Amino acid sequence: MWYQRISRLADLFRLGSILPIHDSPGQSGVSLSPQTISQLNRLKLNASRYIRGRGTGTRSSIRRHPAYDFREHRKYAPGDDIRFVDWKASARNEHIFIKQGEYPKDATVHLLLDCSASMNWGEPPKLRSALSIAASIAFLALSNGDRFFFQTSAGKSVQSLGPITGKGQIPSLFNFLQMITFEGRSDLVESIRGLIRKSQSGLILIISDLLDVNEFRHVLELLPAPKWDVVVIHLLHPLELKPEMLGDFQMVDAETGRIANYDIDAAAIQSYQENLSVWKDELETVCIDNNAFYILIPTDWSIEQEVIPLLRSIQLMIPK
Amino acid sequence: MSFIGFANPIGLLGLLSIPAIIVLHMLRERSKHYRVSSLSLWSFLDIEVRGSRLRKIPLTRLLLLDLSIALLLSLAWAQPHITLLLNGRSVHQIMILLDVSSSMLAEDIVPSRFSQAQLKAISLISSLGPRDSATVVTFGSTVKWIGNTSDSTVSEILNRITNLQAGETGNALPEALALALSVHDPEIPFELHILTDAAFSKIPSFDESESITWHIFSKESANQAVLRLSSYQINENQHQLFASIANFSTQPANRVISLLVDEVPVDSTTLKLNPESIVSQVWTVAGKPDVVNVILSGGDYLPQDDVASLGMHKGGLIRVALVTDSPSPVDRALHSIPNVTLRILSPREYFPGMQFDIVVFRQTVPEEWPNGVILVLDPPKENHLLEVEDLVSIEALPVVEPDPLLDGVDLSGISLKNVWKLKSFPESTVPLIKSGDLPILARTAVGNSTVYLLLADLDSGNLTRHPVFPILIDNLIQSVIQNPLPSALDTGLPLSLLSPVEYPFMKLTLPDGNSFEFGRERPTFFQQTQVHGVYRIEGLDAEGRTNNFFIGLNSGNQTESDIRQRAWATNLVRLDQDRETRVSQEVNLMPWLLGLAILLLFMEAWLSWR
Repeated sequence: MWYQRISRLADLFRLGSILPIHDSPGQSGVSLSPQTISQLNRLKLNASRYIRGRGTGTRSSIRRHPAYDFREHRKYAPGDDIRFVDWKASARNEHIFIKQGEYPKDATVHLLLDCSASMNWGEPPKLRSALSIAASIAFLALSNGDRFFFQTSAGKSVQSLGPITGKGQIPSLFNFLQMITFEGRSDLVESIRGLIRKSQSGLILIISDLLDVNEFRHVLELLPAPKWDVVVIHLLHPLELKPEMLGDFQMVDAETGRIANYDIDAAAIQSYQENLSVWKDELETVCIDNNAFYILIPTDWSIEQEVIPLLRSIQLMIPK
Repeated sequence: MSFIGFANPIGLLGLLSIPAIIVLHMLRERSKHYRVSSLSLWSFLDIEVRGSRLRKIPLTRLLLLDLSIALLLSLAWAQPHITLLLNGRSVHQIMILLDVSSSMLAEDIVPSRFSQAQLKAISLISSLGPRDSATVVTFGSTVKWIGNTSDSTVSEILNRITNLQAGETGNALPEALALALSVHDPEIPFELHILTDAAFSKIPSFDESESITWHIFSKESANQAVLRLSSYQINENQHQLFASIANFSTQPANRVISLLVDEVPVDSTTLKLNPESIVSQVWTVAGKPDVVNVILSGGDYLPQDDVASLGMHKGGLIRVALVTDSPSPVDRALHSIPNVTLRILSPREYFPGMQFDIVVFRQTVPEEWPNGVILVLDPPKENHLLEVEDLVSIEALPVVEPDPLLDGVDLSGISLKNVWKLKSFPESTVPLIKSGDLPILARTAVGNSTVYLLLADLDSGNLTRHPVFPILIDNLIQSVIQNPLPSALDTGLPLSLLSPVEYPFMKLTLPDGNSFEFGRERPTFFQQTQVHGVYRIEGLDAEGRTNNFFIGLNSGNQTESDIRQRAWATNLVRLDQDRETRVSQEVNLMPWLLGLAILLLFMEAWLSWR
């Protein structure tokens, strides 16, 4: 079977390992376990609204065209191919009817991955979870014949892939993910602009830690509904959600390298969590204002047991 | 009140580790580098401190624990001790004078006065601080130096005190005081503790300013005792035994007195003892026994003096002549002395050529002094040997000079009213008892004669009715007896051993069965005579013949058997109670500090592990 080949290939690229492997700082390690792949094989992305693509996809659509696989009839019009005339039905009626079949189309799925240095923070780093989620979504898109665009938002240079379609592109996609580096500062706005130049609409999933609220607001303004259906996957490390540190610390910003000294006590931790809650509420408000869907996923969540069930519960992934 | 001292002050140098620990913690805190995904998440903190500013001390639990542990270990190294003074005075130098006389064996205080005194002495020494010193001296018949903490360890001195044995006769407290005061350092606070039962009549003279604490171990205790046991050889096969039994109580007592001859009971009689009285008991014993014992049955607080033993020597008789027309009461005293053959002569019957060992003249003197020992009592006014002036009354208290003749002579209770005053005395006269400058008893040597002059008027006063009189006469007789060993001795007095010339080998067996063998190299005296009973000496002479000697060591005597606390000590008891609490108590804090430090170490390990 094709997915067995993929699994073997995934093993080759450490796709089969359950635990992620982080080769070096900033270098990604992609992981999808066989159980995850088996689970994804029974799912597809819920992208019915965005079937505006070319007639090469596998998704059914309301559009019809003359075909042997009959769905309905229509009256013959000049120029129609007479091979699709339903002679039997025409003989029983006064008009000549043409057999109409489904016009299969593909969906356009965009995935924007924040590859800034802050995503390479934590132990294990947030990029492990980000790559796993990105690989899962890409796997679903390609295995269901969707057009898939992949774009990074930082790194040495903004990297992009796509459009790619079909299961055969999955190894090259994983190979691409393997090569992504997480460093520097993210520039989501510029990345979105580059993405818009390639495609005018579609489903776009943004995977980021969204540390700049203002930038994020501007990003969503570039992706207006209903042309774009935006799903924001907000990744936060457990230590970002609940820091465990007390004392005097010399803090270093992972992206900018800026240094600041803080005395962290219990009151500071409490204030941090209050500010974190305000920040998350603000992000969610921005998403609602721009018809985007906001999902917060802690990076210690299991793909099979927590992330995929969550995405299924919000109907982003649906059974085939 | 209390103060803290350090046995090892150099250990406080460990406190220098405290600033080092603080610096290390500050450096450790400074180097705590923490990479965050974004500083924007923490920018709300108002207490941001930039690296250029001075850092404050990080008061973490680990720092506080480290500081506490360093403090505790440093203090423990310095070996602190807290001195608790219940009465606000420090004690740095203690002198302990411990009474080891026979009266301290009384059991009116359980288990005995001496045991309690030992415990008190041990308690005093155990409560000493590391800088304090203690000196222990015993007093009884003599003064003995037990030890000082400066030249012996405390445990050694405690061991010596534990092994002490009471049973001596006498009161050498003045000498003990003199010794203690001579060795103490005047620069150091000084306390003198006297542990005694105050059952002696003399108050030793001491400086009232000296810090003396009296520990009196005594109760109002009655006691009966066999004061004296002596024998008188009637003829070759008969002895007459004479015992004095005293009741030192204000209440009458009935005691059964038994006589044992060579450990065989031969007589038992119930004696009715009047208050404050002495009765005599006389037995006639046939044969030549080795030892006789007189035992008072029934109980009192001092059982040691309820037994008197006497070795029956096979020596010859002492010939004594009493020349007087008024033999009573002198003849009674002479009759009571063993081995004495008394002949009473009127002055007309006596002439100097008569052969006697001792001649006692009363109310008369011969024309010339005969050879030998002479005792003159109540000298007549007109004689040509002594120039007697007249009877004069005694104004000052009699003072007894140390002399073998006065062993066991205690003038307390003696009332001497008049004394014969002489115009002059021979040049070699030595006063033995005197009242001021007035001799009462004197000894002088004239030619081959030794003359004792007892100048007290025997008709006035109570000397002849007091036990001191026969003791005095007996001492005079004993000075003449040439026996190598005494037949009886007070406990605690040194026992003279046989001459190594006559007896090259001798063996001494004590009442408790222990024995000592002596060759030619032997001490003159045997000192460990605190145990009462019969001491047996076997002497092997140069010709290989063995002679046995038996000496009775008796606790009963006028000095020690009256175990009641004397009146002079009544005020001292109050003094004792007032000063009792001045003893310091020192607590060594090092084990507590070490234990607390170890506990904190475990706590720090647990916190780190968690």
